[in-house]
Amino acid sequence: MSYIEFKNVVKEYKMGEVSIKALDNTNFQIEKGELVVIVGPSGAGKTTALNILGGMDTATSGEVIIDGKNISKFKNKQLIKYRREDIGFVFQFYNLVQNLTAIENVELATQICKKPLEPKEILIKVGLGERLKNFPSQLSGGEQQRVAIARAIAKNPKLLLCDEPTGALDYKTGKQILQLLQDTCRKEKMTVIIITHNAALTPMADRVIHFKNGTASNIELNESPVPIEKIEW
Amino acid sequence: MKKALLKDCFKEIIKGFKRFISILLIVLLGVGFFAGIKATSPDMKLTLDTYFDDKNVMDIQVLSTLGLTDEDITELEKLDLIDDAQGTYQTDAIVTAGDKQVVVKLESLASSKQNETTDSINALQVTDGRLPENQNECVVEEAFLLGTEYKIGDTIKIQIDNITDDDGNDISVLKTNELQIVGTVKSPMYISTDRGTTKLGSGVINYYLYVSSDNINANIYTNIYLTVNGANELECYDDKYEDLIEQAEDEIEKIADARKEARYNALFDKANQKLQDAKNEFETQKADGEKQLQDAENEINSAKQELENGRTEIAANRAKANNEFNEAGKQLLDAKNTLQQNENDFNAKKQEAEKQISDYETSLNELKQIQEQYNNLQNTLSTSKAQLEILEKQLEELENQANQGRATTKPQNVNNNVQSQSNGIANTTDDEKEKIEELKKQINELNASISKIEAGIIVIDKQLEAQGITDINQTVTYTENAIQTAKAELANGQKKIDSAKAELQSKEELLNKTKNDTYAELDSAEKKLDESVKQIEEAEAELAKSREEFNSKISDAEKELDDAEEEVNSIERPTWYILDRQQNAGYVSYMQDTDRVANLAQVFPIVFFIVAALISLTSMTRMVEEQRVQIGTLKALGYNKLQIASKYIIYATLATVIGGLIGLVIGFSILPKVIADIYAMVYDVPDVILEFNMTYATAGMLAAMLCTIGATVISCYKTLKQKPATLMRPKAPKPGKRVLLERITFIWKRLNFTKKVTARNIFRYKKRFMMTIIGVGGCTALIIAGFGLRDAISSMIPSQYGKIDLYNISVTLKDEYKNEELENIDNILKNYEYTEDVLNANVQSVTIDKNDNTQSIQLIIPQTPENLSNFIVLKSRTDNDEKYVLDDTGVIITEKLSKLLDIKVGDEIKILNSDDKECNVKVNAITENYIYHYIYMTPNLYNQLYDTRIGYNVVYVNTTDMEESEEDGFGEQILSNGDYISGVTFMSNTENIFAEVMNNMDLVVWILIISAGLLAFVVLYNLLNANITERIRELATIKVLGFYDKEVYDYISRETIILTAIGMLFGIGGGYFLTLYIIKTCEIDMLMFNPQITVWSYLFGVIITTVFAIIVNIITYFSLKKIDMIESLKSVE
Repeated sequence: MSYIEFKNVVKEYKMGEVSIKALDNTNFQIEKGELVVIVGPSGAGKTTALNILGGMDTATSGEVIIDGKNISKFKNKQLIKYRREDIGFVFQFYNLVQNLTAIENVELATQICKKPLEPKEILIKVGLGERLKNFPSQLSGGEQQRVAIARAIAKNPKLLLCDEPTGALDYKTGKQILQLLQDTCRKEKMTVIIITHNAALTPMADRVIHFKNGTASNIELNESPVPIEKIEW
Repeated sequence: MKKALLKDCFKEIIKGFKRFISILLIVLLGVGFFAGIKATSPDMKLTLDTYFDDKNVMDIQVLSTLGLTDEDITELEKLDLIDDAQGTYQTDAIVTAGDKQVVVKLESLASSKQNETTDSINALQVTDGRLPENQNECVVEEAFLLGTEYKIGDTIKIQIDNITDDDGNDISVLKTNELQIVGTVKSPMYISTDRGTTKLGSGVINYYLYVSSDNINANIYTNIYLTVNGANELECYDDKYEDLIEQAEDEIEKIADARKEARYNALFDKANQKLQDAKNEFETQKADGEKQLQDAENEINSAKQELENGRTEIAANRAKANNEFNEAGKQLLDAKNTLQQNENDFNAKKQEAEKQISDYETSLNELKQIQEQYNNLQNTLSTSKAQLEILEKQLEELENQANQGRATTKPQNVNNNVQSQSNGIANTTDDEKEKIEELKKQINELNASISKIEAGIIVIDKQLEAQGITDINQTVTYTENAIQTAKAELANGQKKIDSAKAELQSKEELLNKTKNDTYAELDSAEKKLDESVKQIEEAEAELAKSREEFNSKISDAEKELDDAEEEVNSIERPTWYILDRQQNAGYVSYMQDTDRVANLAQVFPIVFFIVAALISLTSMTRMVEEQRVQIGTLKALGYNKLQIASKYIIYATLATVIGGLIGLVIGFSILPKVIADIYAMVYDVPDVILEFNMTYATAGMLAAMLCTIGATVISCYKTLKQKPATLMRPKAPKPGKRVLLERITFIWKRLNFTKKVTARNIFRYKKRFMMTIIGVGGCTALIIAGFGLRDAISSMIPSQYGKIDLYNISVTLKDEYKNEELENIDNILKNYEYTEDVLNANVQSVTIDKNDNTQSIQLIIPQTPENLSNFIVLKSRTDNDEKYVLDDTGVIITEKLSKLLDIKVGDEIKILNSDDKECNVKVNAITENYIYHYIYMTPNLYNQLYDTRIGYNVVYVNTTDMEESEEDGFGEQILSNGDYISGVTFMSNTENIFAEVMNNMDLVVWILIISAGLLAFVVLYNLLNANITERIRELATIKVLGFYDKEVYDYISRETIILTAIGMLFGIGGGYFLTLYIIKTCEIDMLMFNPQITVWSYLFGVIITTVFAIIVNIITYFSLKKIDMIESLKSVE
């Protein structure tokens, strides 16, 4: 049994009379410690899948099993607990609390965890040892995303979910961020799932899941992932 | 505007109904409260103006110190600006109602048109019955009936001091003082309960009363009421009105001097004429008197002359009489001498004659002696012979008897005599013998004597023969005759002399009599003269007295004339008082009160408006910002700024206009009504006229629009300035900032992370911070002010009557009493079982005038200041232990008075007492007091200042606890001592009356509380909305991070709670000042609200705000729960 299993997951939005299936019978597995890239065009359902995976949304039907737990059966409170303890989330627009400094943004996450990592160490690890006390507005986009990653990692989650982490970043910075994510996966043995519409990134992943029309159309395993600095796009 | 946009706009309203409603509501509240409370004062003024116009209330009245005449009226009416002038007579009078006396303001109904009430100035509103139709009828105010228990139809008796008419006569003001009450009226001249002060009774006028002008005796008016042309059309509180009145007053001033002069001249001439008449009269009377005196003197003098004449005459007569009498006396003496001579001659002759006679007589006597002897012898002879015969006879008999023996025992009657003569002889024969013997002897003897006698006779015969006398008897007779003749001759001579003597005697007597008579006559004449002298003396004394009297009378009269002249000369030129409505106490205080409402209207709406502006600003800003993408899109599509903005402007305008209109309707109809109704308890005015006040409606609406639309335009402008591309991207979040608190590291370090976050967040959103503090603070402040006002009002009565005025009864006396009378009264009162203690006081109305602010005050002078504390507590309001004691160095005044007139401890104040005497006195202390104004002074100080010795007219009584029913009985008992006591007031009654008024004021408080609550709710709800929508990404993020619902709620509500708490703190402070401000603006001069706000009021303010905050927080909790993480995490489309 895989670490993460998506079994026949359906997500249906009801808009009045019309119902739209964002996910239609999606199946995939992910093993522990893998760096996974979910790739596909807009509207293919990759974000929906990620949301369900992150406990922010629930599937209309089907099973989502993570580390042996079927989260699709979770109640709201269980889901919160799941998000709190098992999930780290990196947003496209960083979603840092503007009123908090870099370290405080990390602390915002760590203070609710059972066994968090030391925020300061994490920030040093992501290369922001000098900017601990800077507010988000004083940081560049890449630096902000690093803070967001640090915040996600500091929780010491089972799963690090990244939704278009480079979407708002320039090429170079994006690369650095991806590097950081790859390093994190490798060094911390953390399962990292990155959503992107950029198919060029696929070589860096252990596993690539292609989404198309609301379902995982193709899953390919990459025996020898390429370090991110070697990837050009 | 494009159709699509308009459609979008309406859809927006439906979609964001909550936002729309919240803007609408806050505008409604703001505008409604603003317009309503603003309109109250004008509405109240309008009501009064309409009422005054309706009743044709005078615009100006003229009073004169010397009264006013019909001529004055005519002259005043001639003035261009004067519409109508009517004269009336006013005076203060006492009416005795049962045991108490009340003072009324008596006024005659405006002179001419008393029955056409609509045309008369200051027309009365008849509430019951009718107006007086003849001179013995009157109408009173309703309160009079309530206060005196008289009914319509009852007759009352009025006491008024007499007045002096133009001719200087003492006349009564009314023709009849017994008046029948025929109705009750309302006078527009007395809209407040203030009826003014008087010199009568307790110094306060209790009621007003109107009589028919027919009943007025005086031929002058005290007041002339004037209406001004065109004044009715103006509002009486308007400057235009005041200008007009000023003009009219100027016009009056112009003729005033002439009228005053005329009045003066009329009075002066009359008085002068009278004086001249009096002078003339005096002169005539004086001359008359002098003449009379002169006449009397003349008379006396002539009497004296006469007397003198009489005396002379009498003297002459006396002399004459003396002469005559002397002459007569001399003649008489001559006659007497002659007579004496004659008499002497006669006497000599007489002596001779008498000697002759005596010789004769001697011889005669000798003769006679002889004759007698002879005769005697003869007689003896005859007798002896007779005797002898008898004896012989007896002897015979005896011898017979003896011879006969004793044949018969009984002697014979014939012999009775003999028998008896010879008693012894007869009885015994022996004796008889003896007797016979005897008889025989006697007969013998007798025979012897006869013989002797016969011998004697012969001797005598012989002798006579010797002398020539033949017949003795003849000789005797002859001699006797000779003597007789001599004697007769002598007697004749004597007789002549005697007759001469007698004649002389009689002459002398006559003379003497005449003399006596004459002298008596003279004496009596003299006596009469003497009497006359006495009479004259008396008359002279009387004359002197009369003269003295006359002189004193003259000097009196002269003095009187001088006085009168002085009086005439001292007739002061009259002063005219030209008064307008500003001098009507009721009008002025009503206007002042409306101004207070207006003041109130300055503050309250501001709070509402600030909040409303803030709320609409934040709401609209948020709305615009939320829709920045849409705005960007529209902009990208090519719509211009105005087109895009118009949606939001329409949205805001609609909310504002709808909310505002509803607010105006509610505000204009409820607030003025409620507030005016409260004032209606104090003022006798008709129901308030509610008016749609365009000014305030416009102002309110404009202000509201300025806030909402302005806010909308500003936020639109800010947003629209940006490029469409920028707008498409999410708005750059507000940068984080370090807060001041972080620099205070020792505190900051101690805060845990979440608290730090909260702290930073609180200071991050300054707009929200301000809004919350102002909103919540305002709300708390308003609620506290509401309760505080209630405290201030409601604690006033318990404080006044429970802590300050400790006495239970105030007994008003009919007069000011001293010494024994006062003791009597006290003893009467002390004897009741309820009575614990009594205190006498002199209570009078005085005034203090400072900086053009005149306050009438009750001056209380306790007889024994050391006992005052048992009846009235003098102490500091703020420090209960700081008690004040009255002493002779100064007075103690009440707090409100000190505030009104800005008097401090140590200041000197000028007190004008009821006798118009003004004195300076130092203020020693300012004492706590809530109702009315008082000055406390010691009797010594008063006596010293006003140079008098006061009496006492009020007795304060402390009693044991009593039921209300007992009080009535006790009151009657006290009043039954009718000689001294005119009224009994139980403090519990006063307390009840005030309590009732105060209860009604609670309404205002509730209005405040409810509107404050609404405000709080709207503010907090908006705050919540703003907080959530503005920070939705942040909230979504922390939700994604795995914050539990409660943690999310805490994350945001901690801020709200802290902000609310800070707001409340500000609110408490604000509430304190707001309460003070409201108290200051609301409170009427007569009262001082207790500015001590109780802890409860603060607590209620906090609790009610908290309740609203909790409600809002509960809503927040559910709103937070509903936040969709996914939707909000998505980048803005």
